[in-house]
Amino acid sequence: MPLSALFLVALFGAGAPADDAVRIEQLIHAPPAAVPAKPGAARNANKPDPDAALLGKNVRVRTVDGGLYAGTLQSADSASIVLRIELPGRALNYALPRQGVSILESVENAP
Amino acid sequence: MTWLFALQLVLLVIGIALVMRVWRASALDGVLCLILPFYMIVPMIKHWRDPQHDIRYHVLLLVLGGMGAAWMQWNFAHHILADRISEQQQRAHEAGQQVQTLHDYVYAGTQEDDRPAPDDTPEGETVDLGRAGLGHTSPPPGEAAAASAPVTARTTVVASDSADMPRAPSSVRTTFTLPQAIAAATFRRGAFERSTMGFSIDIPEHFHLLAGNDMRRVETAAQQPLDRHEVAWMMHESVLLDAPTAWHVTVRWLSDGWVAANGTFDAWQLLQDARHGSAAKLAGSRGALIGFAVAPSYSGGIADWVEERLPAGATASVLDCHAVRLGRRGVVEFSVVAAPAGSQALCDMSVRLLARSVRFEPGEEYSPAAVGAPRAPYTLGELVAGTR
Repeated sequence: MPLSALFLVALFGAGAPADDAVRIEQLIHAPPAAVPAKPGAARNANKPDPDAALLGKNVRVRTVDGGLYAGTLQSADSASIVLRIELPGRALNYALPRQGVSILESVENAP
Repeated sequence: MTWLFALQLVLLVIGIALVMRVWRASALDGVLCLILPFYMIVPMIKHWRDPQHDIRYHVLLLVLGGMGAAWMQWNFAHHILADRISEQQQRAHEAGQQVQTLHDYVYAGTQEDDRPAPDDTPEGETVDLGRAGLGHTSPPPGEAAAASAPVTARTTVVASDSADMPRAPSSVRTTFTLPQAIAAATFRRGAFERSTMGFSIDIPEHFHLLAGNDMRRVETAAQQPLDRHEVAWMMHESVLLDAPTAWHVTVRWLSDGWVAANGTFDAWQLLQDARHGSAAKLAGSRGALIGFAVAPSYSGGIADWVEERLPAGATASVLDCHAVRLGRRGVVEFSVVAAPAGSQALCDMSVRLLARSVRFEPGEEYSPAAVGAPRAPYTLGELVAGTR
């Protein structure tokens, strides 16, 4: 998934069919790009991660591209967070890049 | 046939001789013999004892000859009729064989689909997976190869719809390869009418569509499970179906009736419900649900969302993208199954664009209240979560 594609989505958001058609063309014809994940530039590595308090807790994560995930926060650093997601018959350690995370919140007391 | 013509020729000669004989006795009788049927009886009786104008032997020959000709004609007609009946029976038999062949062809290739793959991961095993690279970095080579596995070569676990389908004899197999099936297919543009279902699709620019036998042939050649709800495949014109990165949008019609849509979605609740959903009616990879790569949203009779799933035994997650367009009598579904992880933006926009391209016929549009329409046994939320 090229980074430019995500920029386009974030830039335009959900819109009219004509917008979708234009964006589909842009995404289809966008050259494949291998952009390495940026280290957590916005965070200071010397400061403790505020999300560390959520370690071991059930959390839900909203991503910048409208995704929604839920699981137990396994680890969190400046590059990524890792959720442990229980699936039928197996458990999954699922990593999300830190810059793709929009909201990370505990659901311990959520309905 | 030749004998019949010869006999009729002889009868014509006898008839002419009869008229000439009568004409010599009386021109009026001769003319009347020509005009009036059976008038020959009058001069026959009149000249019965007149050796010059006696026509009784002519009449006798005409009667016998006429009976003979009638018998020959009846025989001939009967023969033709028997031939035609035999021909019709032959055609019916051939048509029956064709129907059987088509039936076997349509249902061919589904026998192994329900079996688990030999490299399925045993239950209880922990798998490390993530989207550290989704949309941000390139996935690792192994993951990339698995994620970008060709849609056409995938052997997805069979949907519940095909579980009840009849199985074809194992000897019946289509001879089409995927390139042959694609080459033989007609890709449609413009409007795609489905009047029996009450809607049509205005195929967007740069997209085209496969339907009917073209779709079935490609589907069978690509070893895709058959689906009785499937209406068409839609592809972007730049996507080659036999390419390694091919993807298509499956168009399905769920004719269960009017579906209640209760305002806006609670995506969090839907995620909780979907984790336990086991009654999926939509096309999908049937893997375990990891989360929503794009959370469900609903507006103007259209709901769209993207599920990230982990198929059984797989080490890479895939995306199932859905958009459903509600109608008065059912739901038009647009789904991309098992798209590579990270392609949620393109995938979601494609299904949403196509869902917006649906035009319902007058009286078939969705309305928030079910006005005289049969109700589906599930709500929109339950359809999304697959809980009923």
